[in-house]
Amino acid sequence: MATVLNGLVYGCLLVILSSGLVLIFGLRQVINFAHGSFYAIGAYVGFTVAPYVGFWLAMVTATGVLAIIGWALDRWCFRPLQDRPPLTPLIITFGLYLMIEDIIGIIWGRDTYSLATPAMADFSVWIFGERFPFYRLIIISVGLVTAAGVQAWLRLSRIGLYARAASTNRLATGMQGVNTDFVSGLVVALGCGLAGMAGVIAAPMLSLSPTMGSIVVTDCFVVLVIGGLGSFGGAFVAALALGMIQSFGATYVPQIASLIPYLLMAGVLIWRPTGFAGSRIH
Amino acid sequence: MKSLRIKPRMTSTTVCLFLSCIALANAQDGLKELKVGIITSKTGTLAFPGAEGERGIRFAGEEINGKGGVGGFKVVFATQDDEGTPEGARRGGEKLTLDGYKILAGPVTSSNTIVLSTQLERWGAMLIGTLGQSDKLIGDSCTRRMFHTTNTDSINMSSMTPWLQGRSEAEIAFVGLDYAWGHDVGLALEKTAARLGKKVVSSEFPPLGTKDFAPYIQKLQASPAKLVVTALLSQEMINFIQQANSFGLAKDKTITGIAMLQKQYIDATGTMMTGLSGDIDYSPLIETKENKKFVSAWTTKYNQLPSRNEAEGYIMMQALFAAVGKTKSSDPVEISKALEGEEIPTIIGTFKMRAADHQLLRAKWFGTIGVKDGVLQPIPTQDFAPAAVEVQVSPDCRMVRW
Repeated sequence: MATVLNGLVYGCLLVILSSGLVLIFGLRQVINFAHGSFYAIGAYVGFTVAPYVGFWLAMVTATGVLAIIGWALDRWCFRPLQDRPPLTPLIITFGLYLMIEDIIGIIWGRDTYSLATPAMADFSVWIFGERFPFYRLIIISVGLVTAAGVQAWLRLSRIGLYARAASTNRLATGMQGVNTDFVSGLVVALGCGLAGMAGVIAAPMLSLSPTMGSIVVTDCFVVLVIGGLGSFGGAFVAALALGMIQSFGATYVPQIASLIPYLLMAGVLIWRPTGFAGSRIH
Repeated sequence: MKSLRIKPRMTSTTVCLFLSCIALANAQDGLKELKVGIITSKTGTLAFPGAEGERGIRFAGEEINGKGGVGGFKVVFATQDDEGTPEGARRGGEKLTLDGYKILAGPVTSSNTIVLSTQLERWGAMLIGTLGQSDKLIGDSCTRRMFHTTNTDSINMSSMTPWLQGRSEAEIAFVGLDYAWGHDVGLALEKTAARLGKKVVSSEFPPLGTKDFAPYIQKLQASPAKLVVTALLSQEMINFIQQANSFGLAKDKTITGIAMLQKQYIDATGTMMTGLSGDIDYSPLIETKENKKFVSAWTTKYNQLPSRNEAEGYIMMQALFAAVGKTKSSDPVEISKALEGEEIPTIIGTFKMRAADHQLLRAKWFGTIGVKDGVLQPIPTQDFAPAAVEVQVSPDCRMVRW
């Protein structure tokens, strides 16, 4: 049971983080290499403001700050580059990732930090005879609620409908009178905001360092490839599956645990290159 | 159209003047350059210890230059990022040596140090290992061009032996990173435990870059062992401490570790490490005149106490300065020869560089994390003279002599 819960914890963290990547790819057809850096900025913003406003407000602040950054990124980077070859925004986001990592180092230094677990969640509960940190249960809950929220937004709201339509055919959606640039800006802001939220949620569990984003984002790309670029449902399933694989792998076959996700990714690329769920937001 | 013509005589006069200016500038300096190439991790999970080691090395260089240099040389540095990988280290070493930096220093990991050691003859270079601790460095990987100023795993384990002996736990669990150093410590622990009539009942080797230690922590919790020995590094150590704390591992077990009592981990985890015991390579509290001077100069410059990795970088440079001062040469071969068997004055004492395997035989401490002078830091409680923790020269070290 503990192995399942551990898998869910990391899986849910990946759900929050990869949701943003999926949304951005779906609308802008950009593989955002800087996504891990936004996750790191979120963690650092949370770390900075938490002593003043508390953990939960820090999470809201980081989400908001990153959403604004996301909006600006779309307005001044993705939108002007939307008609360029896909490699151009890819290289630019990679450059952004390198720059942001250094900027974090300049602002916060290269020391490693940790954010204290919020006091209300800093205790353990006994589950099936094993001690389990309550905060990890909160991560699972936040991940599942976020996934449900994003899915509901995509399915039930008018903007969500526009987002799905624009990811299918941007031109036709625009011809119907939908301001696709506005929708894209909103979706990129949401995606980056989720990365910021993931950073704060992860901070009490994982250490903060300028390179923290590059470590986690690799797993997000694995999720994207397995789930299908642009498929929210696919990413959700793939993120949870990856969490489970890592948890069960570390428990039962530790010698090859770190290899399994990449073997799975290679298999998917060979037998189903579009991933399990295709490439459209749904 | 009238073209601009530059007269050959005028050009050569300008070039001569320019070169004369450079020569004059160098003559004014009066010192030749001692080129030290730093290969360290500037990216990846080992970027932090990499930066610390480099800071200590550069601090020593700036300090000696401020005193007029060493052996008629001023120290100049160039750094290459090994990206935490052996291939990156080899690439960095290649670049530095091609640029004339034949005295190499600094890799964080033993694997990277070993890779460099295999190329030294080809590059005509020498290396002083700064942070790698694997026994292999002075075992089957020893070479006449590589020196080692940090304690190795077996030496570290020796300093833990009296503490382990005094413990009542007969069964031990081990968690170490899945590369040369982690496996080395695991092996050294097994041997020590067997000698003390104890047993290592479970060994976990999470890969480098592990973020979530929960599966490993739960296996440690399920283990019958009441004593957990760690050999983790950098972010992995911090993640482990944080997560072990949230799982309440320390409530059920006693946690100790090799290279665990370090400032960076304490700073990152707040009070979580209070009371933990382990080996200590360096502490600002070590009572030597030279260390007090070093701590004072460091604190003046950086407004914080030096860490273990920073001190290791500094000590490594002290070894280099001792040899350069003796030979008055920047030639890697001359320096290597001078280092063999040399008595090296360092901030923590004067120690011998063992000629047989190029290991600096230095003192060692064991201690606990607590508050001293208002700062939470490793406090040495037991000290060991070099002879007390010295390990025999490995029969695997078959060094080709000069």
